[in-house]
Amino acid sequence: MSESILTVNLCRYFGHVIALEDVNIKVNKGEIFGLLGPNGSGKTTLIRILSTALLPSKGDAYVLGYDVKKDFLKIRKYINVVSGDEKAGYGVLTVKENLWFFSQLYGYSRAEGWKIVNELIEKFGMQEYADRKINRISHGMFQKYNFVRGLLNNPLVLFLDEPTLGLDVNISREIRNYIKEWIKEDKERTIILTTHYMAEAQELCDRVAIIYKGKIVALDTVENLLKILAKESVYEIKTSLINQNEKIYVSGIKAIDIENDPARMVSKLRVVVSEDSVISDLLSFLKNKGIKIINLTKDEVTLEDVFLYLVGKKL
Amino acid sequence: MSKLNEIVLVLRVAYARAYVRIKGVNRDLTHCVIDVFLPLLGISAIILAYKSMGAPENLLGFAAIGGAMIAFWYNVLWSMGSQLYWDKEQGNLQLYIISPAPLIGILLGMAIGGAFNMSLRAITILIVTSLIFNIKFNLNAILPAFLIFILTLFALYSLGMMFASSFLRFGRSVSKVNELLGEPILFFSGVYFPIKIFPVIVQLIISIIPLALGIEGMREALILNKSLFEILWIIVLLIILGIVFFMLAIKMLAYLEKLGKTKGTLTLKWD
Repeated sequence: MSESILTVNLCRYFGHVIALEDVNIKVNKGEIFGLLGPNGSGKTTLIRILSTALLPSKGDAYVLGYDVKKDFLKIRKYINVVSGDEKAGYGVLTVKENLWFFSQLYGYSRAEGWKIVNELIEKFGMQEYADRKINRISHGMFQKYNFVRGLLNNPLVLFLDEPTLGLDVNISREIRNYIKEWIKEDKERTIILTTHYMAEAQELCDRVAIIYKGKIVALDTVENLLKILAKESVYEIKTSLINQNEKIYVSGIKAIDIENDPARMVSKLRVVVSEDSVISDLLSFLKNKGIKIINLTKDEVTLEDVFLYLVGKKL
Repeated sequence: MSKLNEIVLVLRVAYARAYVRIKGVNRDLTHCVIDVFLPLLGISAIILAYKSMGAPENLLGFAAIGGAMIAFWYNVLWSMGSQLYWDKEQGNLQLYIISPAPLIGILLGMAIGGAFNMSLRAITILIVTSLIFNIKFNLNAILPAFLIFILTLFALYSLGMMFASSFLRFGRSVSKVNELLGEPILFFSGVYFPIKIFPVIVQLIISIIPLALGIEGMREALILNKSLFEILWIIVLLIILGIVFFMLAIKMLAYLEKLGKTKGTLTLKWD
């Protein structure tokens, strides 16, 4: 069996709200698989189902060949979840003690638990604050601790839900490097990663699923997703501040995003067009509306542009 | 997983969860003041009132035992009951659920840890009050009294596990029920007076409250010098209550875990 995760027409409803609809994904062993989507798109619901915390309403999901509905106890031994917005653990205990506590949930003996914790602390260079209470460490340190917690049972499938949320550049880079190293260590391992940061997905993921309103709108390698816009051009236009209610109607525009910066009195437009001539139409349109053009550049296509093109708005 | 492995896992998880509770609470020494010194003032006030009225000596011991047991009830009601709810808010509950650890192991650990912490305080309160007010306990009955004490904790904390399951299902709204239960249970358990003053029918109803039975049993053994045979009915009732509450807690937890997974309430916050 080459796949570690398989979903077949997976649906999840919360009352009348559709959280997931006919989700079909197959994730291979050794893969870092990205889930991209705005808040409320269904990424976390999908992770919760795959990590056996939530049952699907319809359809099937398998982790390592086990059915999430029937075989959840078998699955739990081989998975773990790390969420960037969680504060899991007990503030009165130290980093080390918390890690030991979580190790005990996986059936290790007391001594085995301490051994694993000490090894991980050393491996991840956490000795400096290992004996500090977790309510006395920085957000970056906490997230590193949280990441290590996710590795305690040496999982085969690791779910990373926004693991670098709110972290500074250096710690984010450190965590991304850990992720890359960890997946390389064993070909049987799989990572499912949700992130808001497109650059992170582009750097880490072998394949990416773009999920919007509970549906998978695209699923492919980053390279192939970028090819969706191979024939299109992307422009970035800096203008004077555009009124929030202003609608831009210019035929030929495939996707447009307007980012206002009222403090600096400027707006930034990211535009996907199939023909360069559309840009001159757009510039004329803006000029007629009294909007001043400050700068215009043709840009490289990014995953963010593909997302904008497919979903109609930026992440 | 074989049955034996499952039991070993439950025990390991229970030990780890109890470790968190014991280590965590005892690291913060302000708890000693809150849990020992403050209750001691309350109990002392009652004992002094009894003394000033020239009440029988037995009543002083009654008040000391009852007063020392109050902490267990509040611990069960609030720390035990609401803990899983706070675990959910913090994100710990999700980690418990996605791990192979049975939730009953977590609850058992919370119960053992809570009972251990409270026992240290209760014993300290009993020793201090007996020294200050010269209260005489029948030390020959220490073993039956200890048995009743342990059985009371078993029944009481099993009840706490049921509260914890309810919190998991109904969230913060259960706290209203806890508030409603708090004082009335203490009143009907007769923490500061013998429950024999109640009519027989009320006494019969009260006998399903483990706290009331435990206090009564320990008073009869330690103060009234009753024989083991005379307090056997209390021991039997406590065993039955403990088993029934424990089984109910396991059933409730399994049911609510399944329901929570179906409805999503185990992972949704602020519910």
